[in-house]
Amino acid sequence: MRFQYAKVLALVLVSSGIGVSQEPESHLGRNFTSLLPGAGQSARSISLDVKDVHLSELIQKIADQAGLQLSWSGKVVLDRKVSLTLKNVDVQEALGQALRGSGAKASISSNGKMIVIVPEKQDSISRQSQATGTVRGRVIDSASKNGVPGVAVSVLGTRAAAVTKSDGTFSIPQVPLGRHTLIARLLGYRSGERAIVLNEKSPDINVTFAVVASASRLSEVVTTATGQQRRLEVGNDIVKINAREIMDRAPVRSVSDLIRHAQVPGVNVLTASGEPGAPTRIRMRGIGSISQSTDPAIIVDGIWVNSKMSDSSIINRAFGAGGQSRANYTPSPIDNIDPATIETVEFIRGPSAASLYGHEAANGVIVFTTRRGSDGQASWSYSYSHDWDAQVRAKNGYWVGYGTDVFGNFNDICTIRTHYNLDCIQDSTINLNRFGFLLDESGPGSIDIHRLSVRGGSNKITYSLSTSYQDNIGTRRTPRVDMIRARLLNISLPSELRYPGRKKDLSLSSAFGFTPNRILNIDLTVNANNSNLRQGEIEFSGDGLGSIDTMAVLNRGKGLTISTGGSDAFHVSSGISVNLRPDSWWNMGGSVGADITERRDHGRNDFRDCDMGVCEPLEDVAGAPRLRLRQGSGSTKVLTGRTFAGGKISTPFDRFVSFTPSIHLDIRRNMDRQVLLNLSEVPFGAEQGSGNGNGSMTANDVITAGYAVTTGINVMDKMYFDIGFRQDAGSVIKRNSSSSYPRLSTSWVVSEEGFFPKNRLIEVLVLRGAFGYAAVHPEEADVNGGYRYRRAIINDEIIWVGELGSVGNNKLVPERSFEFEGGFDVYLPGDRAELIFNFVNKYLRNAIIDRSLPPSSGLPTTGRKENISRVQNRSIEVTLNTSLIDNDLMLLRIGGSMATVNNVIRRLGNNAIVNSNTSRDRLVEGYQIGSVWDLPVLGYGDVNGDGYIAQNELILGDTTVYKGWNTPKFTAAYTGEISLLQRNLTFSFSLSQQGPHVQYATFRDNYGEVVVGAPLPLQALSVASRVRAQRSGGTAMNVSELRLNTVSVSYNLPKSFSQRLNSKLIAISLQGSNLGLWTNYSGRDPMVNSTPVGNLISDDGYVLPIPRKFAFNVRVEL
Amino acid sequence: MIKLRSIIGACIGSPLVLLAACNLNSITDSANSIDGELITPDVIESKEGARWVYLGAVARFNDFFGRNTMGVARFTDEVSVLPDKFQDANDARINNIRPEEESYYVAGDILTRGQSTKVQLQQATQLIDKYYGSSGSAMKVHSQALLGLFYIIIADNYCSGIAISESNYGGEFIPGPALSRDSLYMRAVASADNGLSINIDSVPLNNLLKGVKARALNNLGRYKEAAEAIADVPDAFSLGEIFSFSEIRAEGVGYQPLVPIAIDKYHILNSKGLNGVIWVADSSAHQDMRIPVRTNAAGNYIYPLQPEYFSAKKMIAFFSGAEARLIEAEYHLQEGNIPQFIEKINSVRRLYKQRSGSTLPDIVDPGNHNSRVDLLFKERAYTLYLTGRRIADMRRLTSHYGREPETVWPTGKSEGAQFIMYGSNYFFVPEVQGNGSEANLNPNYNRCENYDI
Repeated sequence: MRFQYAKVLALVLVSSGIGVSQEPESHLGRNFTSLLPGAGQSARSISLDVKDVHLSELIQKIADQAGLQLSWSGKVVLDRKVSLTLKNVDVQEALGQALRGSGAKASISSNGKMIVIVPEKQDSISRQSQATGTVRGRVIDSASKNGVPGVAVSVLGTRAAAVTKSDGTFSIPQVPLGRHTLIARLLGYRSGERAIVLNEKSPDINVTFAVVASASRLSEVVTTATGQQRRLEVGNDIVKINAREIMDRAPVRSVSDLIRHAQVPGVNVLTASGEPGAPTRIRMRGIGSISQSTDPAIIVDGIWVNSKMSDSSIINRAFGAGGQSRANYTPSPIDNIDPATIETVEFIRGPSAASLYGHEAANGVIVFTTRRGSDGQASWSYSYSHDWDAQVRAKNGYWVGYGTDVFGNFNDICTIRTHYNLDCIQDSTINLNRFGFLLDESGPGSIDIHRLSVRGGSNKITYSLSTSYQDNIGTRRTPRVDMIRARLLNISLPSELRYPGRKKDLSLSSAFGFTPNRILNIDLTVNANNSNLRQGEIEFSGDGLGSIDTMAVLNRGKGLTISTGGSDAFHVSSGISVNLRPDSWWNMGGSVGADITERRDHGRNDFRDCDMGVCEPLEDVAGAPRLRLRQGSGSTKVLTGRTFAGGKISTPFDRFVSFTPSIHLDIRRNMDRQVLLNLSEVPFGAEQGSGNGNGSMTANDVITAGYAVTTGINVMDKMYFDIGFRQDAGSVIKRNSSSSYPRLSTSWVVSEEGFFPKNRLIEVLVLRGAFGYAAVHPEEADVNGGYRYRRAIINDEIIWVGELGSVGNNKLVPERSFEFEGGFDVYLPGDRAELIFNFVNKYLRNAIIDRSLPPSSGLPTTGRKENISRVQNRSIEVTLNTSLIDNDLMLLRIGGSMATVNNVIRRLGNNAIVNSNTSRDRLVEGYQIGSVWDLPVLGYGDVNGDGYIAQNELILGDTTVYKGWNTPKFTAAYTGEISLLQRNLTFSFSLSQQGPHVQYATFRDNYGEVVVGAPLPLQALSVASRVRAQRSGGTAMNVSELRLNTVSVSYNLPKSFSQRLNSKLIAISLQGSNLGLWTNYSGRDPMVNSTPVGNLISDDGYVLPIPRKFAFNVRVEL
Repeated sequence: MIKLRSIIGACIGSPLVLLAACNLNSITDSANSIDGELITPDVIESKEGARWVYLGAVARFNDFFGRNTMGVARFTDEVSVLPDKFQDANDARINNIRPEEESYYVAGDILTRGQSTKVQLQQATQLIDKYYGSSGSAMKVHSQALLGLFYIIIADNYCSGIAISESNYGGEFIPGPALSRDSLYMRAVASADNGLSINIDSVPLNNLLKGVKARALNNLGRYKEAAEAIADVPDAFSLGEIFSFSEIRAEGVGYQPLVPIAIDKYHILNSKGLNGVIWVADSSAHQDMRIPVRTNAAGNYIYPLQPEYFSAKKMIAFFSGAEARLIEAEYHLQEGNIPQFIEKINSVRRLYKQRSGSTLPDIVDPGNHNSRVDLLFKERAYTLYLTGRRIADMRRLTSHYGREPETVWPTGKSEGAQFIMYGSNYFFVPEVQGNGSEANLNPNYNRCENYDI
């Protein structure tokens, strides 16, 4: 603590006018002096008793007792030894006695803060002071080794000072010869000090010293489309996370995991299932648009990455029966990136997003930066991780049932799915005998990850190469079933089996940096991934016969394996950027990148001994017993990850290419009042998505081209204005038009002002405000309407035809959002705590909504798009991080964050498609987009006494009533970390809290149904959910949850041990996630929902909860 | 049997037309298309674009026709759906057809698809005129025939007061007035006459146009004109569409033109309700292959699955010579020419075989008018089984022949589906859409109650 005070005092001296320059002006803690120990201490009594100490040491002791700083001329020599005894003398007297005969004299500065030692002969000093030198140097960040611009460097006790240029260099002329203390300070960094000596032989010196970034976020440099800026200079809150820090405390297996565990306030990650590769839906600050995408834009190393491939229209178009697409899930595109290759992730949530990145960024931007090489020897790292995954809240299984058919014959079979959906359960009308097998879903899962990386380079070339292999076996279990002379008709596989069972990833990431000379820098990045996703299989054996969705009939005596599908995806994003910095005040550069994803989906396709279609007439097994099934001998077995050489349905269905060239020009001039001018034309991007398969995939060319200009004004290093303007020279609509996205943001370091209360509780207070426009553009089809290519069978040939598909509206304009964000940052001294607060008000005008057309139009009844609605989103975000203990022995941190978000439809407009008052997905003014409505259960009773609530024993209301919002209105996260043993042993934990939000619960028992004897209220809800199900079978519940998100312990083995193994570091850790859940939710998992896209949700009946994970990691660095 | 290939074959009768209009492969090869990709207006406004629109209209019609056929079959007693084969709640709902509002789901869907077909056929005609001129005659005639069929199908199924709006791909929409069924039949006649006025060298297309005209006139009660229209259509003529189920699955085409989405989901039941046709009994008793039921190796009835469309490839006729003879038979019945009536009936029966391989035996005059009417409509039911004629025929029985609805329409419990009850409203006369959106959004629309059903 004392160390901090001394630094603050040093800063005070810089700004106090005592023998130092008024420039650079600094106000940081100017008036702290009244509270500091040194203030007004010249009259303080000094007592000491020293023998044979150097005079300089004696003077220092006096200064210490007085609580004053010490400064002396370089010409003063205080190296003789003295002995002195003082008792209760004042400071002046003590100094006088100490310096007697030394040729020097002492005085107290006029503000009483410093002891100044000068030679007794002032004339000679004055003459000598005419001799000056120059201090040149560079200030670098202690961590990154990069130059730090904007640092105020001053020579203590003189007027000499300078501010570092963009590369961190500085030059201070006319520095008096002598011994000096050089001080560098920049808000967000701990001030650095360095002793220097200028003499007649060496009047010019070169100094390089490092400054240590403050733990506070003020010091962060954020990467935006227009280059790098200090976060302090941006008025909206850009959250930057370090991927390694997250991965050290949580089992991060995907980028989605990384975002989830980062627990950024206002960022929601909704998971579609707890299985490998399950897609996620990311929402930043809630839902904005009624009909347009609300996905944030994804940028990796400056390259736009397709974030649309998990849209509902293209979830998975591998084909099932009847050419119907199957909604089996595939990973989100961002999960094709190995999270271990990520260095940092930035969340740009506020108004600056659109002005930086254009209309695709209206819902926010997530910027990923991958790891880079560094100057030095090759540094190898290998890590291995093994996870044990356990299913929580699992169902034990489902039944296949059979019973009497509609003719009363004992030959009808309830299919798995129909039985699951209760269609085989009739209220006391038919007596179904049951026979079944369990689909045991609670088996253990596992993840094995191997990662190998190397980093290094020279001052001209740096490199970072990494590769990883991940094998993730899910917790779903599928059965093997013997069919004993059975006729198994028309098995409709339960949806559960169409979810991923196993996922394997092979990733390669590389980054090369070339710096051939001081003005040129070239970066090349390549991130590639190949993933193989396999869903569950059921293997039937025995001599039975069956058909699967009428697609195949199994020959008697032969086996049948049902593959429920899968996908292979190859994803590569690659970019090259060139930066030219001819002078420190300006630079220019350009980049070009491409993101390519190709996915091949597989449907249910592996019918052994059968081609597609009917293999054998059904009557051939007429004599077979109708159905006998038995569960396969031995335990059930997951047969996944197989290659289907005989696959008949394999659809190369998606190739998505984005091409992102950009060029930028940055001009930064430092003037008396620093003016930063940044001119850029970024990003020019082009994306083309193409689909080639079934379904309603729309292949839109999304082209943005524009330029952005930002001007930053730095006033006295305490007030910043950032004015940005982006002009998109065209879009998917109105190709000859343009869209503009202005932005204005400001931040004000109030604590630098003289009027700021002078206390030590708050070291820094920054007020922020930002305002900007954004827009979501409609798709081209919404504007132009017209025809789409379709394949059709005519004359028994498959040909391309044109299909009149949509109605255009050439008056359509983009949805415009006006977003205001205001907030403040508070930092306590010594980085002990930081508090960040944001208030956000986003108002969407011209919101696009579907307007109905009558059926007689012959056009899609969803109508055409019109700009008629208004939507408002308001959020509050708070982050608090504290370092209760932070020393070499121990670190103790606790923190938390919370966010509230609310969404209101302010206006809908006439004749917008508003679902009927019996719908669950109504759009109503005054309520949220995605609000959930439900028919109320007015009464029920087991009238016929059969123990089962049937539909006619249930009374439901006629109209749905509001139940809540499908997005949590409140989210919070709580974290804690303690490090011991010189920070080699670390424990951490995190909790997450959410609620309230609506989740559809399926009230079914372990057999996937409500059975006779189940509690009647439960049955009533379940039956009600079936009756009112228009899209989802669940019962809407307003839920909240508290989850023990992660617990980890990590240990760095002693260096002596690791060095014996020729390694720099060997670290082991144990991590756990999802270890506890406290919720009022009666379903499976309030965080998991089977609808991964769009604004609607579905029930949780077909999905797995997030599994409980225990992970063991070992990391070796060479 | 003449497939749709015949139409294309007809339109390619001229070498010039072959190259210009009907070489489908050239379209496929040159398109480099992506399913779902938007075709911008400038692409449509071209010769090739016109052809895409035409082919798309044909595909749309097939889709509409197939769905209508299946939908109509489910509204009558032609097929039943195994109750445990319900795929989802909607499937269950649409099979519980008698509460009228439930039936709108299917009815509205069919109508919307029909309207889409009509809009695209009209635009195809305009574009063909614009970019092909006389060289596009075959496509234009084909479009006219399909347009006529559209009007007939819509008029057959819906109550009077059907709104026919106009719209185009530029987004313009002109809400149309509600039209009576008769006026739609007249539109069908006009479309057929339009097509017949264009001189093309295609016997199949001309026969189809004649069939369209005759069907419309027959529904209008103009029996003589109807019979005259198809007098020269040969007995063996049949024209329709085929599909390849496996190819649909494998290729994932956007349209599923015809019926059997799930083969064993549908089956035949014997006289569903109280007044249905005794399909199974007649089929078993008379070995009538027109409505075969599943038998075992010994030829005994064992299973009520309908296998008519069980095959992966099966054609459903738009119009056939058999139907032409039945139209002639009805004309003779109306004229009181009983010998000719019986002869026409038997000429149709001779086209079909028993399971034994011999043709269906001739029948004799049942002796009275009512029985003759019964005979005519039973023969129509068996001959035109699952081609989408049943509702129209049942409606003609009440409107043209004075039968009481409850004697025509199945009532009571559905035999096959124990839990499905036919409603008390015997007529299947749906409005455009159950949620009333047509009434809400089309100011020119009048509800059915202002018109005869």
